[in-house]
Amino acid sequence: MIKLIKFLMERKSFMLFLLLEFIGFILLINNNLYLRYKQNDLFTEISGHYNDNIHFVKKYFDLEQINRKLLLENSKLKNSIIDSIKLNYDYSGWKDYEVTPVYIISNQYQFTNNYLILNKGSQDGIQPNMGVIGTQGIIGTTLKISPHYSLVLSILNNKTSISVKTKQTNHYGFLKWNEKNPHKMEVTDIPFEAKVKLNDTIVTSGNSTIFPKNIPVGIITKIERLKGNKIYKIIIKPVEDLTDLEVAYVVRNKYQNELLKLKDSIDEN
Amino acid sequence: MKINLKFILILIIFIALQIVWLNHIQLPGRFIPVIYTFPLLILPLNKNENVQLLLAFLVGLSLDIFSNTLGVFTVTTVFITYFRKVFFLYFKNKNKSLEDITPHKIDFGLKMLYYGIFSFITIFMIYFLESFQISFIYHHFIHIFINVIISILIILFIDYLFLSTE
Repeated sequence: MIKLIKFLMERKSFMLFLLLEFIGFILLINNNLYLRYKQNDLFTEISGHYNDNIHFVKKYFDLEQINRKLLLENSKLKNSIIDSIKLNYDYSGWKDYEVTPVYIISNQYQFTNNYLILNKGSQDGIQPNMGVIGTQGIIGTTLKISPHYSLVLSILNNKTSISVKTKQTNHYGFLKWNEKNPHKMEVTDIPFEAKVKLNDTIVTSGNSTIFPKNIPVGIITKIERLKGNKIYKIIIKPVEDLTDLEVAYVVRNKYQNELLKLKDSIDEN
Repeated sequence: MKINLKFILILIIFIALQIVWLNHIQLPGRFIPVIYTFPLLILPLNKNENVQLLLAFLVGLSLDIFSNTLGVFTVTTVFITYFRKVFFLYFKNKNKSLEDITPHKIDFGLKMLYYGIFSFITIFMIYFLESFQISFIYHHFIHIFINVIISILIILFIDYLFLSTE
């Protein structure tokens, strides 16, 4: 025992190295995706506050571009209202949702697991597990909320698995990210029976309580037939440029808790 | 380079530069040079190792907090700070002891190797710890390689600019 203590005393820097690495690994493991919910939201608040200050300066340089995007979105919305009158378009998927406009003050796309920070938090009614959509398509889901900021799990994340469907044929699949390119995503589990073709649109299925149905996700750029599994592997280009985000909308299903309770009761039975 | 107020100031500037670069200014193709390790890499080996390790821990933690990557930079920075001496154990002149070595005053070839190896370890560890996947080597190898090259070039440039006259 004395020898051991002497040995450790002689290697103080090595012991300190081990201790600091141990603390680092504890932080790393606690920061794992599934444990983020339990983590104190102090770091979200610090990170959010810092990014908010940077964003405050940055947004003045981007005003022209933001205005252009919003004008484009406005014109599309006006057109869709006109179309809905003409075509009796089904907007029923939206009626259960409330929308909160937000600024994206930090956007990662360089890592395997990417996150965004929004400039609104629990004080503005944002809660975990809400959908975040951009001016063109989906962006991610809210993960951790502090009073003034929200941490969002980007769809550019290796844990992404969002229920989507083909707009034309209504066949369902799952959206995943291949971790290499922010301009390419994969849709798996679409069966061979689906008549998919290049340039078709992939939209949200509305199966979850997070996103309303028919929100654009991406455009099909490549179709592979996986013969063994009798399913397609489809490569899409996200409609939203995930490397250039400025404004977004958090969508909240007003009856999410009610629906989840109902689903849980089905699972229990 | 000694650990004094001037050094702490330089360290803070490098951390700020890395945070701003990391989160807001990205080169085309998602390339992010890693330069925050430079002040730690040029510290002489004869300085108090425990202070260097604690400093490395604080540097890593600061980057983690501002980048939402808790643990990734902390583990990486402490690791490279400790294992610097292993590099010099292998490559140092036999007549010199570890305590006599000042990293930025070594031969240019050895310096390139030193910055190269530690830039590679830093970037490799950041990618690996962040993704927690072995398959990342296949996916990101070229990405890591280009990032390492860009990082070495920037570090050598900073070294030439600020340390060549010391």
